[in-house]
Amino acid sequence: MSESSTAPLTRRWSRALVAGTVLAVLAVVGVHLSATFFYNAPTNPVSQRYAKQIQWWMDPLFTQNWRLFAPNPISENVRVQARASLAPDGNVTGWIDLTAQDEAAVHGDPVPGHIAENGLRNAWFEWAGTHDDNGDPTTANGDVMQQYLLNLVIDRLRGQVGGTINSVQIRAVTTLIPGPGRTAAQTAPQTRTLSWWTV
Amino acid sequence: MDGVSEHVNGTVNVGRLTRALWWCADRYETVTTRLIAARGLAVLRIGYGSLWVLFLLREWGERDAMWGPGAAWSPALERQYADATSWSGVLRAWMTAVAGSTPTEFNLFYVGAIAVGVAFTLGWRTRVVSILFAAMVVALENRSPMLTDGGDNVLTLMSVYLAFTACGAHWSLDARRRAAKPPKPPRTDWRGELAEAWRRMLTVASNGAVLVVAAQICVIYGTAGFLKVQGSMWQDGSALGYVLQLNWFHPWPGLSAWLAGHAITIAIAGYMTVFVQAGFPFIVFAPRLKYPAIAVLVVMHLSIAVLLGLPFFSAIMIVGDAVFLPDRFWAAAAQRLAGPAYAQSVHSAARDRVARDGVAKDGVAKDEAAMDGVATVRPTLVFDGDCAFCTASVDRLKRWCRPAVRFVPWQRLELAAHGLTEAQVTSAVQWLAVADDAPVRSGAAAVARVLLRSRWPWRPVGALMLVPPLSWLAALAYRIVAANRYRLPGSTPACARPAESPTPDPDGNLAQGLGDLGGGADDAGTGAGRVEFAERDHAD
Repeated sequence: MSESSTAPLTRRWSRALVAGTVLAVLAVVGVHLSATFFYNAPTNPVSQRYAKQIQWWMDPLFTQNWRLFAPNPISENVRVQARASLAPDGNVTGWIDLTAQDEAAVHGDPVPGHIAENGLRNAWFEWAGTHDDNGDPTTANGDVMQQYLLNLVIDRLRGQVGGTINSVQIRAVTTLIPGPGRTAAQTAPQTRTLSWWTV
Repeated sequence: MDGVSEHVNGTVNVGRLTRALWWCADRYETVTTRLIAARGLAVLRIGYGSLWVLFLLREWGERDAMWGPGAAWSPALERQYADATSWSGVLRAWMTAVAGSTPTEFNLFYVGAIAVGVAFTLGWRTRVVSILFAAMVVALENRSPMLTDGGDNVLTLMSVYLAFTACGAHWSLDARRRAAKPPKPPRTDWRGELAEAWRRMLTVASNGAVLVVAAQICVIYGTAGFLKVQGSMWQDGSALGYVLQLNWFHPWPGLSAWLAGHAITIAIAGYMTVFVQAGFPFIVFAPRLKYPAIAVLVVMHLSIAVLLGLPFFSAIMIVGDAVFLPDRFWAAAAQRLAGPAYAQSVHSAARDRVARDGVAKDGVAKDEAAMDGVATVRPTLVFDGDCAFCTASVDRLKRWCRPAVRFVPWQRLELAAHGLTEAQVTSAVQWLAVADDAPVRSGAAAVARVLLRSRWPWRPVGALMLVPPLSWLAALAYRIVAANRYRLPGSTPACARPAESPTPDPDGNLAQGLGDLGGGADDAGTGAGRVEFAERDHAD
């Protein structure tokens, strides 16, 4: 395509074709930009009223989430650890710090991989976001997220424990990063241990 | 008072209305016939295409664990997840296509995705390939939605938008092919009319997509910025201190810890981030603020790339900013990169000559002939025109390095007028600077000066060739090649040098060499007494 067309359009139908395209493009661009705006904006009367239409337009091609580090950045470190109960006699392994392995993979790597950076981190936060304090799912995707976290942990443990894994237990050690207005008591590690999940 | 006169004086209103209508008509003409940000789009294409290829190569070893049949986000989970969404029809089939593949199919798909990325970057059949590229990116990025980060999200959006643009109009194999094709005479029948209408329709679509790309980037920065404004940690300036201590984004713990200790720097950088991000949707309309803001964002993303270990995310965001730089900026940047473009200058010189003389001389615009008598002052390299090896080398030099230098065989030069002797010009190439009083250079020192006036990356090579001890090595290499040139491929008996050849070569003189580095501007300034060439009309 040349940068600028030189030949003028002389016939009526060709001009109508171009004018029609201009109108169509204006309409699509208008709809898309409106949908994008209301998809990202905080909940408001427009986005509530047209929630279905906006979802239909944006999902799945144009889904977006720009909340990384906003409104507040994550200010705690979560270490995901796991142990396994092995077949046949139910021997239980020690706690294996999977997050430490991710950290080791990222350290000194100018181009860290997606698995080390996003794998366990996203899986944990997605699981925590779709389950209540008792570990029961709160959304339709809860089961999917639990299975995903389990798959991820089993894949990681499989190479590190000898034997067949019967069930696994996951715990998360959360430490608030010290900062202004945070007491020593607040920044002490908190451990949340989940129940045993059968493989 | 003014308002009253406007209402009373009807002609003023009519004039304004007419002007407004004219303005609209002009705008309509622009968006239907001109590609907006055509070079910016090329930058986006090359940037996103190459980042995609690099990303896939980076994850080559992990491809199965990430997206293959053995991924933790298993095919069964993908189906279950898709069931819970509103996806339907072709889109759903495509989003879940990779999950249903066998290991062989998956590997083929992965290699195909890399190949499409390469073709997209090069701009080969861009119209079709850009659609394929979007399809590949969408399919793979949605295969494991829980593995993605912001960079994947932006890349997916941009790949879809780019499929609607004419991102292959510049700096692409397509553009090269089009330039090489002789222009077809325009058809005047309905087919010609339809082709022109189609071209305009594609132009309109591309311009609409450019608007969407720009607006999308504004939404990203605007959303991130406005959300941060509400965050207490961004308000009290401590936010970046926490970010630097996150164990998952911590490739250089020592560096991060050191930076986290500087509360003042952290606070200033944090405020700057929020201001520029929240203000970006408005700043892009203020040319004087736009460039500093983009510079701040580029620095911010470079820091993210290194400190948080997110190079792909950062690069993807930086590439997106390219759409806000005007076409003339990219055109100038490309010219800078391409160097003085010898061929171009020859063409324009030939045009000047035709314009002055009124007639083109039998169409034979031989480089040297075209340059003659043209007011453009440029330095000259004198070579041996009888030596086929020398001539071929000069041709190669012109083609590869595109120097802004005139090449003249010594046979067409009045040697004495330039203080040259036949012994000199047959033993080595000679460099005539524009300034009359500048000493003549020869051999490797002359070649170095040609390279200094060439396109990238030859300029630094030329500079290095003037610095001892590299200059000594270069001079030695030149002498060896020159002494054996009749033995080298492409040589003729005429290439043999006369028996004795003293080379008065003042190379290795760093001070003089660097004095010449100043290059074109100085030379042109003293160009009043420029070199004159005798005997240059050839009779053929």
